[in-house]
Amino acid sequence: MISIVSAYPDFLDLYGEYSAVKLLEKRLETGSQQVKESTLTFGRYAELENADMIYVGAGTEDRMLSALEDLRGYAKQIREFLDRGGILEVSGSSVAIFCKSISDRRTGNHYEGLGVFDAEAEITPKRRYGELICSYGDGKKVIGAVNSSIDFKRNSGQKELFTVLWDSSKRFAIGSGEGMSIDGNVYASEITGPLIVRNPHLMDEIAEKLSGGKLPECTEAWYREAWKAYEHAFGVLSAESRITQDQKG
Amino acid sequence: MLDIIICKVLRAIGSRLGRGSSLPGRICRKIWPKSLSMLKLPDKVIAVTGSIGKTSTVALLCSIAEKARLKVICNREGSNQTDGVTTLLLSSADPFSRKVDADIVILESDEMFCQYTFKEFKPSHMLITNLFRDQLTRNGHREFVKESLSKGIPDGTLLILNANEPLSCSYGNGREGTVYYSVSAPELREDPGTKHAYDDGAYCPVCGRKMDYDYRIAGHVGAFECKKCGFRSPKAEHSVTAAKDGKFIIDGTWEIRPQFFNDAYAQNIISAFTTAVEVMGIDPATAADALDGLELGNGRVVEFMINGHSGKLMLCKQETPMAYNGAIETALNDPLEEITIVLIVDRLSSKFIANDMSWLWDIDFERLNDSKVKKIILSGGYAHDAAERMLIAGIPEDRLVIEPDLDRMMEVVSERSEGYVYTMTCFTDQYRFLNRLKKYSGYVIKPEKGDEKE
Repeated sequence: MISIVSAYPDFLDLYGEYSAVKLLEKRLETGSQQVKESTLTFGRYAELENADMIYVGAGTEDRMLSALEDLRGYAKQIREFLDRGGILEVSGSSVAIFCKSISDRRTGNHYEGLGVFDAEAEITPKRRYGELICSYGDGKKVIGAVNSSIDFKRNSGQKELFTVLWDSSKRFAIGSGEGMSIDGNVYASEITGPLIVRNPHLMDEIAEKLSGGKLPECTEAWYREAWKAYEHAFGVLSAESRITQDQKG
Repeated sequence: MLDIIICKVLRAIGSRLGRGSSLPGRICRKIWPKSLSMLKLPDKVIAVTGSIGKTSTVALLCSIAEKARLKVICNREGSNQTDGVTTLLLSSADPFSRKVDADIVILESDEMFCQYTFKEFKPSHMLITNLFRDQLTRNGHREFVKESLSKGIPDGTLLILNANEPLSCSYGNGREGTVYYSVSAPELREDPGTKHAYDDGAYCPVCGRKMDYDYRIAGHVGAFECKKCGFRSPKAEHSVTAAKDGKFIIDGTWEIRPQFFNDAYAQNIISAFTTAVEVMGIDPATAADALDGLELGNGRVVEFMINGHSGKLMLCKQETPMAYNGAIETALNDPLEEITIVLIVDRLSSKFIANDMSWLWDIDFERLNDSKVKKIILSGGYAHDAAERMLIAGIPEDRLVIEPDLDRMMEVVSERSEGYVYTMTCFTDQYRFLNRLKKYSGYVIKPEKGDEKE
């Protein structure tokens, strides 16, 4: 039985985040894996001791800060979870929760993060929206959008998750890193979409890590459509990236 | 003086060329940045803003004002950002006196642009319809919109607020003179326990604790109460108290036959009625009479015919789940036994790179699991994203027809539709449907819409 904990799905719920766990579960079930999903939210305890994966979706900046305060009570369990190789996926603003510190330029407040990542986060008053093509692993391409007002600064000890190949907003330089990764088990990215819904190969990778081996080919219609959707969007963004790079010079 | 003359001339030229109405205002603002602030406006300037319902509410208000024989100036056709508002007001002003000759000005105002528009003049009243998840690629999220809009609400401007929508309603906290409206009709309430893709009413927008509802109208719109901080739906001045036999009953007295019999339109109707009575000083009987049977010709709904099938194109605001939920509600409320849904997701924006499809996951497509929905036809570049969403919503595969190629879409709609055809798409993609309709012997019944550039 694979145990997935959704953290604050009713609170950190922007940009269709709920669908990530939903599709991951379906993908695992098509590989004959049994999945148990439990919810961790305010006033609702979830057993992280037995969890194989924790998913924390994107929320507003203020909600992210509230979730951080609640998650402080689980800091020790999260550390232990990571030490035993549990898979953590975090998206959008929630990446800040796991940084060393968060400064909020809107209010001047400063918060201590959970310190999982050797990085700092800064909430700014300005929002940016950009669509990205990134690469990871052996050159696989990831697509999605960053809709954020948070700047992240990775310190030298922190490994990025993706390498940016193109960003429509030009916030990320080509070749720069995006997100945070630890030992191949932590997938923390500002990219939403939701990330593993728009990138079925990434969903497969996480599903296979959770199941401990290669999953059989999925023949279900939704999975087929997910791949076609990815191929279309990747084609559109690739064309856009060529246009904007040509324009640049 | 010159700014007004130039604006009038540019607007006249623009109208002849069929161009938008923002450019004259933009040019004038560049040359004369203080133009707007130097106008003499009537005492009553009502700004209408919020996520959904602005255009319809402005049209309803204008109709009521005209019925009451008030001279009204409004941007009925949209153009709701600062440049568009500038064009409207300058071109309505006398070049010598700088006076805008009207009893009342009604301005649809983009919620993200109020902070710029109302730096230059102050509306006497502001009607805020709601704050929903809406164009998140542009708007980020609701709390960000709330913060931006709060910078655009001038001190002293009186608010008219929706007592059923918690986030926008919270603007009224501690603000004297605020007027509220509501929809309380039992017939329009959701069944308790109705599930949605997301719930923006789960937590109190004031204190962040869990929130309770006495009833819900649609999603997080309803009679809410936070037991922690006491924030609750305020008492409304006017309310849709019943909805039956195709009529909305206001305050238990006034009967309105609406163009659209659904919860969203009930909110539009009551917001306009309340503003007319409480702000414009129009007597309730006149306001009700103006609204009764009123059909807005704003082109949001286009009736058509194709291969013997009647249909409606329902335009939904870009990337706005509540707008699509409203269209789904309208389709499912149709007493017909067989309907086909056509969903077109293609370009989304003609100006920006907009490939984010996360908003599809926030639409209640689960509701299309209804025996009367015989076929769901998906077209446009993002048809596969929509198909994935539909399949996860539990729609049987054999009920879906996936045709991403827009040029083959009409053939599919023509041949595969069953019953009445409800087509949903956004403003940007509407002509991808309408322009192809004629080629397949289809035609628009009303309103008239010509070929447009896609």
